Amino acid sequence: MKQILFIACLIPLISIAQDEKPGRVSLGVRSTVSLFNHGGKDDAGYGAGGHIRVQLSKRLNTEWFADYLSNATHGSAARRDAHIGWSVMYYLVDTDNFKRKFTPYVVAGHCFDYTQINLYQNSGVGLSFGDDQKASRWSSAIQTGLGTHYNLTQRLDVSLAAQYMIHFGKDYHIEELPVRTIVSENHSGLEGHLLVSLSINIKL
Amino acid sequence: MRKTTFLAALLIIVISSNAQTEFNKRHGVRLMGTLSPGYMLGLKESVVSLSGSWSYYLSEHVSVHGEGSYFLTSLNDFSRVSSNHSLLGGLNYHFKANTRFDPFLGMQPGAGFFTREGGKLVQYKTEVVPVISFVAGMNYYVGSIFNFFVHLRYLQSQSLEHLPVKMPLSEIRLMAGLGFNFGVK
Repeated sequence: MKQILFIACLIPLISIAQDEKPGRVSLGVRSTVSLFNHGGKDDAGYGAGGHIRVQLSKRLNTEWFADYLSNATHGSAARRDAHIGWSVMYYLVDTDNFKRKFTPYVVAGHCFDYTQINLYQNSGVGLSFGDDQKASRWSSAIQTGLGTHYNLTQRLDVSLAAQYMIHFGKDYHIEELPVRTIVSENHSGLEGHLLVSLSINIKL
Repeated sequence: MRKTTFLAALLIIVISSNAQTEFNKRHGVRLMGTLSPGYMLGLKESVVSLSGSWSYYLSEHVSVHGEGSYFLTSLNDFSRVSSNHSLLGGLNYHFKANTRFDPFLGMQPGAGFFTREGGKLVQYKTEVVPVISFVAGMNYYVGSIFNFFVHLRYLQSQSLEHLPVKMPLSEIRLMAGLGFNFGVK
């Protein structure tokens, strides 16, 4: 019985060993649109960043990323997020060494997030309602979603991915009355946003 | 009229025969600098920047591309832009291999440095904004030193320093002129 279990444990290693190029590294740049920020339908944000991919086996890839996004929130506040994290990508089809044009994948991962909220009291028409306010926090987040590579060549791909990112930790919101102010939530809650990213990647 | 038609036909024949000549761009570098007119779609302003870029060809089909742009002026009478510089970096995909005629598409996200125009009374601070950017263009390699180029770039970003007024900074930018290349033959 122990021998069977031992052999079963070795099966994943066999699949890695059969891959043509395990440990293949890619470099890429990404553009991201952030939607449904804080549950709101408006206030889309834009972001830019980059990533390194390290492929572990034929079907398994990892992505180590960093990006910076900014979006409006609650109408009068700016939210700026810096993400640094990693994801695991599992290819839903045989990659055929990236000779096929489309390679869809499931992606899931974790990141650390630095958020800064700036509440501007200027009305935008020259009137000011008080001093600007600023608050920031570090938090952790998980993200999961679907994506696909479009392989322009075996070494170059364009990837489109949609991931929902959920932040853990204390959140900020804006209270309008009696005066507009940034309020820190006392409880830890879940809040997130949909990230649609388009990237271009080169395999080294 | 006949003479003009003949000359135009001759020019097309010369260019197309040149375009089919074997030409190696792998490990080559191209550099360019130009005045680039742009139109900011959201703000409806015509602007002019000084742009410079480089590309390094990893292969005949792929190049790494970096670009910097320095905002010079707005052509509108009442502008809301004091400055809007940008630094971009990414990759290009080149459709044709070993030809002088070199059409391509690319993606270069980066950072923008935007300052709102405040007139003589207000001095606004510069805001760093993430920029999404795509480029479509073509180069024509005259020889091993010069190339002609036409690049059309779309940039998407927004300024949030003046909320609740959001300032869309989307822009279409045209770059064209004569560039230098090294290591192509």
